[in-house]
Amino acid sequence: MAGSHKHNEATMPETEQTIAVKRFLKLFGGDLDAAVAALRDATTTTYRKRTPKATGPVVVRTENLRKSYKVGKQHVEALQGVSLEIRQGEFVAFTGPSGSGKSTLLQLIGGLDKPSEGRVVVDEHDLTKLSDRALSSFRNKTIGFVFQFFYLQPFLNLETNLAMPAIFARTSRKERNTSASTLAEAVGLADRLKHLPKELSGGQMQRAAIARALLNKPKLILADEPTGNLDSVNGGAIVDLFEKVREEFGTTIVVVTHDPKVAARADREITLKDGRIAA
Amino acid sequence: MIGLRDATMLALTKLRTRKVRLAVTIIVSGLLFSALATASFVVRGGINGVTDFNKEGLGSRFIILAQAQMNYYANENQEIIDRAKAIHNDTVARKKAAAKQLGISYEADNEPSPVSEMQSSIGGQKQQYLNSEHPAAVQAIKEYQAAHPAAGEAELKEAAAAYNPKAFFSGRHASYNLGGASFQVLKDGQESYNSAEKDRGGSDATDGFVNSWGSLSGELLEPFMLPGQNTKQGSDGSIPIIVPNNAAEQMLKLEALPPSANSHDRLDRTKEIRTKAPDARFQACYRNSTSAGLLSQAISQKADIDAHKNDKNYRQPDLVYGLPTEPCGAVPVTRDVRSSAEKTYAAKQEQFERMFGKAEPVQQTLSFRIVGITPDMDFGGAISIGQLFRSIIASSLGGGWYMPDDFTTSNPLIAAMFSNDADAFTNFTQRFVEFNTAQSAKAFLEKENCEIDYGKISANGRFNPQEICEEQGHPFTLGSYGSNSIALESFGKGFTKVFRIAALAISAIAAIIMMGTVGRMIADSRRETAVFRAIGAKRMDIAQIYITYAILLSLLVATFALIVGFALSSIANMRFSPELTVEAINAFNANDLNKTFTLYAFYWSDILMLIGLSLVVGLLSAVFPLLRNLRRNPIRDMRDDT
Repeated sequence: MAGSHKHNEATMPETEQTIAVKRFLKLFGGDLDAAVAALRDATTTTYRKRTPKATGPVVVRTENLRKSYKVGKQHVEALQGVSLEIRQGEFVAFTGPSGSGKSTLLQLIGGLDKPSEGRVVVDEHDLTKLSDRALSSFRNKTIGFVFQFFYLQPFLNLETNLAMPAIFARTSRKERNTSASTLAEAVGLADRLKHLPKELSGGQMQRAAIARALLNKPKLILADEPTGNLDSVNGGAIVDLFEKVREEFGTTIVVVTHDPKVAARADREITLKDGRIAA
Repeated sequence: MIGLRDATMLALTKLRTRKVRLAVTIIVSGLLFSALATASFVVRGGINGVTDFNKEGLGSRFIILAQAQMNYYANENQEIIDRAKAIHNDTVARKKAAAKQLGISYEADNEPSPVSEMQSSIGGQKQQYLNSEHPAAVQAIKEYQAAHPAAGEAELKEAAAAYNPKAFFSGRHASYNLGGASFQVLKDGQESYNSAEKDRGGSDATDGFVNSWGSLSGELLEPFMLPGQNTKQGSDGSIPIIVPNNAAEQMLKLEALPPSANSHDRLDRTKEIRTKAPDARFQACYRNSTSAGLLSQAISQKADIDAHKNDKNYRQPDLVYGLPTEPCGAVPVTRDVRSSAEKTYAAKQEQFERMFGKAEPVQQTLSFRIVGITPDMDFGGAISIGQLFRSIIASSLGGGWYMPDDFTTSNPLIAAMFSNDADAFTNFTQRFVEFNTAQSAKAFLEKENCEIDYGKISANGRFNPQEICEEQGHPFTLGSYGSNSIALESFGKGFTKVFRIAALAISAIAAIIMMGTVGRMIADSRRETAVFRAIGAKRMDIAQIYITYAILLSLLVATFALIVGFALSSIANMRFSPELTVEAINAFNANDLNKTFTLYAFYWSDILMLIGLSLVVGLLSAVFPLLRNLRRNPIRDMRDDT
């Protein structure tokens, strides 16, 4: 794909239109198929206008963040000095081509991994200085993760699945079940509480996963390709849900996405390329 | 740590994946542990049963049988051979003189010699040996034995003194060779004259009486008395005796069960015999060699006369003996047409024989009273579990007929049968010493036993166990008697040891199997673990879930093992309990006939041990995969899958 992209650059004359197309393509990490699909979707889905930039306190700050790791014998520089700030209540999208480091950045912010260099400060916690145990607690209380493949426990009903973060927070059964049903109602799954995940549709599962992420009232939702496994209607609904969550709880939302429609709905789009912020 | 209920709930979700593998693990590990469970239940049951029955009989006593070694090869001893020849020559000389004086003919050449010759297998030399039943040989050997007495009670007391003995007992065996005398149990009060019937052997449970007739100190027989019985002579003169089960059955006129009878029938029969036998009487007829000789002459004459009934030329002998007119009666003369000269000659012949040992005819009935039952003596055939069991517990007197020792001296007829005048070599006394504890009995057995070196040849070129043992300073060969209580105690300890080793081996195998399953499951769950970690689970929480999983798996294995163990031991019990009860009742002389030998016993300690063992195995099997898993980076696991 990278090769064909270069070929286009070399042969196409630089006009205003080609620049626009290039910029559009960039949204999809140079993935032409994704861009075409997005254009087709755009004819059916209305993009809402971006809300004004949040002005709250800084919730996430990274300073010259570097992350390298080995894959087999190959040394991979996933992040090469990323500094950014995200304010409370912001809806931020990380975009960029595959391997640009956007997921790695999300994981470092979520305390799932430690940076090789630099600092990550989230909600005034310097994550580089936290023990594994403290990091677990931090993830539990401050962060809500949403995954592309939902990751619900297949043998537990929705209520228990939603209550999972509360189980690890040692919240009482009664309290967490109340929270679970409140959130299920908020995401439109009140009548599915006693159902197993396999009895739900993809969109419902992702809504359940979002409800699970919200259970401990986190300051930050980190979503890695939350719509990647959904059709555009359900994808749109998930973004709607994120906005609703932000409005209701003031939760900061960070989404890693390939989907330009999702990126377009964010307050801010941070594009990464080769481990650096490109735009 | 998360709540126990939550940990269990999450662990249960793990049990719902890979169900086939899980089932195989539970079944295989469970079967391994069930072998332990079954062994434990059955052996516990067996030990319980033995302990329970041990309260009866000699089961709980520690008795050692001491057999003084004799020179069994005295009949090859040249010195004794020479002495026997001298006695024989003297007797022949005296017979010649007496015959001459009485005016009867005497053929010295027809006199059997006390010495035989045979080709030695070694070197081909001619080897002389004594015919140990010849009167001269018996006398020579007895003179030798008097000069070289076997160790007796005094020696036994001396040997046992250091081991704190409790009591001493003795017993003897009736002579295997009655020297022409006969002793026969009267069936329905009738004497049997049918020698052919006797020769069949084994067909009649009472025929073996003399061959397996022993006497023992009353104190040793006391525990084997049936209810209401004792070791004293009855007011009607009856002699108390313990008889084999099948002999009692026959005398009670119970038809023997077919060999195909099942163990329930046999148990019922055992109980019936033991209920009916006490105080039952029977009589036996003793005939000394003279009486027995006359009787057999009468029987053969009758047969001869009957055979020639229709032969007109047949002439009956001048002197004819008839069958006794009453059971165990004297043998009457039914025809005597001899001339007076013949009669005179016969009288002189008789006088001559009386001078050299022939006795007046004696026939007398002895009255016996059944006071106890011994197990049947069945030899040969397939070894049944009962026989195997009997050989393990080896309690009781063993098979045979037993009466109190006093009667071997107080009753002259019995004394005659026990004095073994006809055979020098069966004339020995069994001695017993009882100890208070198994330890002292065992120490005595180990330290004072004569170790016979069968390769050792004494100075005169003959093997002489008496000499070998006396040189060692241990004149007795020793063995435990009456019960295997000493051996059973060692068996108990040995079993515990073997059981522990087996438990370890089985646990190790089960651990490997379970480790495979737990490890696989943990590896399968890596992504889920990563997700749990992302939403806030600590390493300890994850460990707790898997440990709970391992515990649940262990409990399933233990439950399965216990169910199979219960089932197998119940089946074993149903199959073998009646048979073992039969053996145990007879072996231990249980007077409580409702007592059963149950082949399983459930001890909480055993069950808990088994559960504990499987828990340890389960936890051990979780440790390594868990340690490996907890060090993993959750991010890697989450990505690997996508």
